[in-house]
Amino acid sequence: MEYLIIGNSVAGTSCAQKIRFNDKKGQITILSEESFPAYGRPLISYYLAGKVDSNLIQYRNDDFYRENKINVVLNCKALNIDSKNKKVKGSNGKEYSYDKLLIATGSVPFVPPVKGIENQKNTFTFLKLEDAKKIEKIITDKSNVIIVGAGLIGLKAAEALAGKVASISVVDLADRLMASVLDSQTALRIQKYIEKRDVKFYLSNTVAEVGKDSVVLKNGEKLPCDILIMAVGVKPNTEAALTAGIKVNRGIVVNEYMETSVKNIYAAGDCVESLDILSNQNKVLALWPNAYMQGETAGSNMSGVENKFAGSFAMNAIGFFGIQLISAGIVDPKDEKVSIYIEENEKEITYKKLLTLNNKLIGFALLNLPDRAGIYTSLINDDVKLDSLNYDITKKDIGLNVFPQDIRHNKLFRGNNK
Amino acid sequence: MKKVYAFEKNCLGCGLCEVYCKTAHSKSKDIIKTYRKENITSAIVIEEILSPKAKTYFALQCRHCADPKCVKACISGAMYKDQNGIVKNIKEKCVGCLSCVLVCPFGAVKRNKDKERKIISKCDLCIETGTPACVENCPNNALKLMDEEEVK
Amino acid sequence: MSISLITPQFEVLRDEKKCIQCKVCVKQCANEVHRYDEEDNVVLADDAKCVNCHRCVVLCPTKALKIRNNSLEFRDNANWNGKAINEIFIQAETGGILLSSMGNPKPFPIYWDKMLLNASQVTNPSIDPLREPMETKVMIGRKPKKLEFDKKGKLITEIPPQIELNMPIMFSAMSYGSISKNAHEALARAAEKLGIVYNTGEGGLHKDFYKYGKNTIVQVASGRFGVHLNYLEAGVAIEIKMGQGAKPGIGGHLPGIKVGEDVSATRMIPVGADAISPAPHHDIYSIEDLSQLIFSLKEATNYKKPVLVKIAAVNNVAAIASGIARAGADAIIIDGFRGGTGAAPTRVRDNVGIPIELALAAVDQRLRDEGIRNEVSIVCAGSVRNSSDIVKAIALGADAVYIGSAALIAIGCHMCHSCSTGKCNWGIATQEAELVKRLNPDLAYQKLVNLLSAWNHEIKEMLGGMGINAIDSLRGNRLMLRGVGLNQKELDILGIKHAGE
Repeated sequence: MEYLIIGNSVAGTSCAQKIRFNDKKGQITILSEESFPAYGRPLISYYLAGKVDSNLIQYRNDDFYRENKINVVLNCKALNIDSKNKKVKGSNGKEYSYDKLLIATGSVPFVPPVKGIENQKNTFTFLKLEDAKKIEKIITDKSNVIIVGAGLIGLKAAEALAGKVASISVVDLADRLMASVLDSQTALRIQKYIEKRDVKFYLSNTVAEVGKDSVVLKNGEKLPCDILIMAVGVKPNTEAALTAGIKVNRGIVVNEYMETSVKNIYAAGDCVESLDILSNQNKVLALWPNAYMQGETAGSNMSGVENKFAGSFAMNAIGFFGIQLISAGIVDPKDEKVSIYIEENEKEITYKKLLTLNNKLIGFALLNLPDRAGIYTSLINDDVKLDSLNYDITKKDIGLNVFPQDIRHNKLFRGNNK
Repeated sequence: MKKVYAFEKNCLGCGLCEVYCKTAHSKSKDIIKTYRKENITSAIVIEEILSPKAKTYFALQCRHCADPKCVKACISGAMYKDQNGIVKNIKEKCVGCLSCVLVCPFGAVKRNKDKERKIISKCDLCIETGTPACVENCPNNALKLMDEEEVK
Repeated sequence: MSISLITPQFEVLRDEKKCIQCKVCVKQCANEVHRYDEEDNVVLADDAKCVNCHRCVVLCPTKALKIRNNSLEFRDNANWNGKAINEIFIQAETGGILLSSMGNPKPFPIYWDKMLLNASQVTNPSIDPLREPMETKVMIGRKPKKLEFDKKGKLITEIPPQIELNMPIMFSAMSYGSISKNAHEALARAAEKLGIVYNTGEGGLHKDFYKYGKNTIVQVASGRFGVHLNYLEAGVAIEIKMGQGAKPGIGGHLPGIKVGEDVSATRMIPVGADAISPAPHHDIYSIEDLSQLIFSLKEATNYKKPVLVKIAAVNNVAAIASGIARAGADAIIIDGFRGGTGAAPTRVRDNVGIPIELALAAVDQRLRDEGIRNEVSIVCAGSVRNSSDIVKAIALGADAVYIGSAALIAIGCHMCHSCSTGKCNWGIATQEAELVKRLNPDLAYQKLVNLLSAWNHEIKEMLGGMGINAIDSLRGNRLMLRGVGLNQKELDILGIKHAGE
């Protein structure tokens, strides 16, 4: 049996690991278009900030590949998938045959058209280690950095560069930071906190034109610019999938076994659409744990052990400038029936927001209150009825003691982590 | 595999397991120095159950899940399950993103309060010394190192 | 309200160099002595609440705590010492009788420590119990005057019911109510493991413990709490409690606060009701009346169980014991004045009753003199502290001993004499669920097994040293004892010679 995996991040890695667990003999090959061994992409900001050594950034050590007999081909982009003959053409000129194929190509940055963007030769996106290495090389304490996008990636880039450059300006069309995760009040509070660390924000604004050493904003303001980081967002990388005629909406369409519309081809990770259990719709949920589980599910099915992906929901753990934000589910609801509980402490800069609907927790956001957040996550994940719990979760700090004794016992003694 | 199990009927909520957990994971291995000079977060959580008759307690630490969510959520590869089934965190690799805290359904992975070393704190079963310090020092035998099968 | 004159009995000394503010002491003190001050990050103590039970001292992970007697001294006065003064302050404030727990702490003579044991030298060999058989098994109950056998050598004498003990030790009566369910469980399981018996006390038998029936003596006391046919049939023997060494002539009083659902069901009284055991049995005013109760109980249980009668050691103990033997009891328990209790008036505990050693010797002698020693077994109770006390008790004439305080100490009692408060920090003399839990029966039972196994081993060593290979051969063998520092009267009562004689 030949297994071929396109993409060398978490989905690809977990898929390979699972295949090897089920199939000790099959041949496993991973194609990576990058020149580095697998690393956690979210780690690039830590790398740029000097918080993680380049020798420790590798996601799995060499022993992992040796023990699992996984062959990784670096610097090889999959150019074309020939599903009829079960062959993939690589950018290194070689052809790779497969019996089962996984597409785990992840995301690519979404860069909107901006007038004059070609004038700034130091324009970067911020997704890959390569991006961070390039930025690392050219920044000086005199650099003026413009970051377009006040989402997670933009803010992580700002954090990584803070204190290393002359100025950092973050521009975003939205009226607040991380609009998908934060409500306006919290966003404002975090914004003020970050502004104290010499990061300027230009919100409800955008870069209208890029010049050689400056940018002009929509409101006419002109800012000096030596480095431009485009961190507007990401989109699924479906390039390879399309060459095989696989059905693609926003992301690659897969069923619960992570099978694509083409036989023997599976897909997992940020490049696919999967079930969001909160909206019951297929969505692109570009989340690390999601990618891991999808890769694992795909790997299991590819190696003959049937397994379903149960679906997931948005969740994030974000840390920047010493702030910790943990959130999951729906945090900015459109539905008026959602009850929202908020508890905040301005002095300590803490904030807790719990959202419930129909006797269930559907989302939460915790600012600087990470302790035991996973229990909230499990309440969403396991579809727990709130009135079956020992106490009102808005009245007390969460603990495992929220569960009635039999359920608690089941969790603690039978290791049920569902 | 063997794990630490807490028996509610015997747990007093005294907090000694925390004291010994911190000490076991300190540099000095001395209780007083650990508390005075090192800022260590214990890998144990003591929970209180309010019931009308009497308070009951239980101590909780990493369950070393068969299918650990924290390992899947870890963005740096610091969290892994070793050959013995113990879920471990490689301090040097951990960047303190708290993704593991986000997904641990037991709330058993803690943020290390020591801000200098932004890492997490979780039970490693005191694998270097043999018997977990919490089990060894529980005054009422409420914590036991038992085989999964034995418990079921 | 005026200022209280009572001074704290103890001081709590905290070594600030060692205290790590872990708050274990705060969480563990049911008397709320320790408190944590968050503002100053310091743990403070209220000395007045301390009973010196050592719970905090033992659990403090850095051993930062010491408890001392309060160094505050009243002006020197051999007569009006601090204790005497404070007791007056207390009674002047409360108007109540003083209450105490456990046994008489006063410095009365301890005769066990004034008797020494013999050992074989040259003329008869000592025995090594590790190499040769050594019997410590005893049978408690009425013995026939003589044994008759048929021609084939088969025993034809009918043997009255007996309690078989693997060693001459039993756990004395401590009621469920006065001690916790976990304490009872520890005693019951240890008795089962050791092949001995424990005693329900006057609080009935909890439904969970009927399974230990083969190792249980059920007690019938003046309150008759929890007594019913199943109960009487549950154990291997029935004990009628006429008196208790710690408080001869006094009844018992379990405050309603300790009567929770479980205690209520076991005692067959309403939840929250005070359980009052009258001083006398209201149906016993004579030896004849006692005999009626003994035979009622025997009748009820088909004459299959020995009936034991327990009395406190008092002035005429020998004559009373003789009467009890004649009333039909199978064994008599003599409880000395150092015996423990969950609660007793201090003045009674400290001033009523006589030393067990003298009472035991007197009773054994009297029953021998009257030729009825075989009709009853004698059980010695009231502060038996170790294996040598036991060996001496056997030599003075006991068939077995009861241990109560020693057993409780084995499972954590620190003799703080505060049982009556119901706040036992060791989970023994309390009914508060949160405190009861502190006594893990799994650990406690093992400690009891360890203690008595060790004692049994020591008893064998001492027997072997005397050249005796069975505990039965030591019973009443007062030649094995010698007194030191005793006057002639004491020697006469004990029936022993002075050392050197």
